[in-house]
Amino acid sequence: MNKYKKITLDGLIFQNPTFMLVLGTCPTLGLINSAFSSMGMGLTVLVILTLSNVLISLLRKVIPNEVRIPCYIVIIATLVTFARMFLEKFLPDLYDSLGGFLALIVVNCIILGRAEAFANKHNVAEAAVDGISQGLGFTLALTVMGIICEFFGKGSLFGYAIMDFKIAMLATPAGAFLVYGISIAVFVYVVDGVQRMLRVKANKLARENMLKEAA
Amino acid sequence: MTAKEFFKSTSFKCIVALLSILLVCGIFLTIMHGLLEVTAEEKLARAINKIYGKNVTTEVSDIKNKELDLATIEEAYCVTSEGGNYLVKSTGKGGFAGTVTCWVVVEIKDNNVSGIGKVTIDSYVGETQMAEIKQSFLDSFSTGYKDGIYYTTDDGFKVSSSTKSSNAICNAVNGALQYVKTEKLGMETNDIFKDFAYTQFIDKKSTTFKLSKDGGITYNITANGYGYADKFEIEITVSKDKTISAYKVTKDGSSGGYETPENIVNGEKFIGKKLEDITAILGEGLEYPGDDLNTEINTGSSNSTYVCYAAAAFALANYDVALANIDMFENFEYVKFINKSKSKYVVNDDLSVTYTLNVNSYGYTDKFEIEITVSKDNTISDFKITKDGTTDPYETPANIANGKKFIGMKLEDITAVLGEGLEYPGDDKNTEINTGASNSTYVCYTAAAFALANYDNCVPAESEGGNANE
Amino acid sequence: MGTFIAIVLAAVLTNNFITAKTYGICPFLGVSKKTSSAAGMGIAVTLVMVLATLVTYPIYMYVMVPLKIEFLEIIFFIFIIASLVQMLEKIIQKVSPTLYGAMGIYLPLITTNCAVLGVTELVIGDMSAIIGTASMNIGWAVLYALFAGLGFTLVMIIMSGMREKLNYYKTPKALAGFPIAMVTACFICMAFMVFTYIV
Repeated sequence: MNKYKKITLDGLIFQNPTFMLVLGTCPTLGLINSAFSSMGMGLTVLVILTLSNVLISLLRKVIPNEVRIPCYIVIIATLVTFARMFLEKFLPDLYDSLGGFLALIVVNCIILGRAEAFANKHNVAEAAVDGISQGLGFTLALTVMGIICEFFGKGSLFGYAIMDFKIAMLATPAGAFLVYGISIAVFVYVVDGVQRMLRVKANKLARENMLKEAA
Repeated sequence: MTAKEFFKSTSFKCIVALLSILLVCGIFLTIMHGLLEVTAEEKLARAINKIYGKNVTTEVSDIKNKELDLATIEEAYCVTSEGGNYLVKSTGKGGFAGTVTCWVVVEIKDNNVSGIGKVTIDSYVGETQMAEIKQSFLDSFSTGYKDGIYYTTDDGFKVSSSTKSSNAICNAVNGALQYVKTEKLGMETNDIFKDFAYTQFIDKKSTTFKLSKDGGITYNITANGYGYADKFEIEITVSKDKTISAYKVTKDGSSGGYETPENIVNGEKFIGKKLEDITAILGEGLEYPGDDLNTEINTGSSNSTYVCYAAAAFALANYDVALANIDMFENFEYVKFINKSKSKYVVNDDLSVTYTLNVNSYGYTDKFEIEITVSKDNTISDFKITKDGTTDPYETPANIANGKKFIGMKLEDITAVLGEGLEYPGDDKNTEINTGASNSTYVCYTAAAFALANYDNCVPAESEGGNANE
Repeated sequence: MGTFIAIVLAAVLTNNFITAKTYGICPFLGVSKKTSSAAGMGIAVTLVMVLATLVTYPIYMYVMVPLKIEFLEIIFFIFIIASLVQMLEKIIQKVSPTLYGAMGIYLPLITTNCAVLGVTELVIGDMSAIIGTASMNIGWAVLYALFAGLGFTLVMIIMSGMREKLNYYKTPKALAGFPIAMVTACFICMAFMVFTYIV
């Protein structure tokens, strides 16, 4: 069980694709001016990533090593095409708000990256958990930044107007860069701080134990 | 490598694996495409559902991407279940580095546009300030509809922090209105400045032009503001030789501290100027040359001066178009007997009027071309047929063909024969008209009556008085 | 001529791939530490963008549309791009080892660059806002790809220049690396936003 907990924590925090690995930056920067579209993009990637992880993990024994990358790309492209059809049919609003970035999920480094780094070395259950946790990490990061950018940049949340005050620049690519950059800094700073605190605490505990034994 | 070895090799395995994955994926997607395809009708139904909030029946129009001046009409539908309203998908130009596509519901009543039902945004490209566009702005098109309206951001159809995007929406709505009016209802566009150059510098709604006494054109221009300069109202007369003969600023739009120079306000600077004189300074495109350059514009109130120069250029450049657009015979009597577009008149120095008339045909006669001069005392002093429209074997009588018959005639002499309405008296009556070529004679009489009846229209009373004083 | 200027202005300045569309951010952030490598990457991306458009546009318009298999465009395009990149790498290696040394190392990274797939997807879509009233054809498509690539290169070089200068200054530890690069990018974006007003 500990193994799954580690995979989950890695996906959400220690190897968070958005803040720690800085992958999938194009859709992030392009869509975080709206909380709705950034959350939609996050969830779409979550589904595609999980499915591709599962499929690639299933096929990892079948696919020859030499042509694995083209095979992964075909599988991912199929999933993205399917997602595009599905969204166009059933969620046209989301389809419109994602625009060109929907097709660009194919070249989203997170998906190919997880396929290459994780799914082809682990079993189906682990690959699925990894897909979900990485996808969730991506979704949460995007949604939080989307809320920040939309709230301050447009004065609204998920399309509902809240206030008149706004800093319009935050809803443009320039603002997206700024918010993304600062978010990474804050996230890394907090995670580092917490880790250091835990280490200090552990060291202190160990020292006390040593002292106790010595006594 | 033998064939057998090849089938066992890694390359073969790779090819098989890749191809089979491709095949499976292709088949899967083809099936899914069949199941999930969004048809064109479904897309339209979605768009319409968004606009009306319910399903309506439509008739598809045959147009596709029709280019208008300010907008592109992408699609248009006649909504049959809503009383024949039109639903137009229109892309407005002139946005914030992009375009805005709107669905516009144009309401129809008694074969005329009665209002804008609804405006919704379909999509936009390149606009970054669309978040500012609120529903209330879109509703203002419906509430602010007036007959013959032309929506502009100047009239308050704008959102302050995204003026350019609202401009694109205005253009989309205007385009939809124009399309429905001209293409669907067959109405003429009433933009008299359609063929004019440099219209971007003037306010089309409050600019007028008319024929001046000397045969030139007098414009009453409301020039758009530029930079620090507000709107100007300028009266410009362009004479026949396409130079400015009169120039007067009637409303100065310069702002305090930057007064328009005196020789521009009273027009001295412009008298006798040609279009080339202005384009020599501002270039063909009449671009603002900037404050740093040492040009004539740089007067200390460069913006105002620029506006005045642009107005002058507008007046000069459009002399020919304006002349073609002017109805010289507005309010004239008996115009039904002449072909307005091929007739003209000039006021001579002695205040007599010389008409060159193209007279409409009647019965057996073809078109006549007649030159008539009416002297100051309202009698005909000269009558000359330049093209005789009589057909064989009905020759126009000699005293009419050489005009002798008409010299000295007054209007009453003709109405005494033909009556006030100048009706054709018929061949059987024994009148002056009954010459053996009655139709031709009748036509010449109507031309003479036209010339005599409209002397006062050609030479307005006040100018007569003015000239008398000189 | 008007269309030509409109495309150039839009592709390089107003609709710049990085500053307005946020395509191709991975190399923008990853390979912009040195001006020489940024320029190499930019040129390589431009080359692949032009070649990819040259191949995908006719295939889409004259093969996929008549066969009604537009829905397979993503698979087709990514496959074409991947094969092109592979081929280009092999050709450059054979023909000019010097050139390969200068930009060959960037080529494998380009397959997963959204700028390339992005431009091929863009030119088959609705381009009316950029090319105005003229209808889209292979010439405009390739021209757009070329100048979009050059616009990308321009921003890459600007960014790398700024990052080289940034090396001389002390950065707070939390901001070191990606965060400070993104704040720098923010200013470049704001500078490019100004161009939106000229068209």
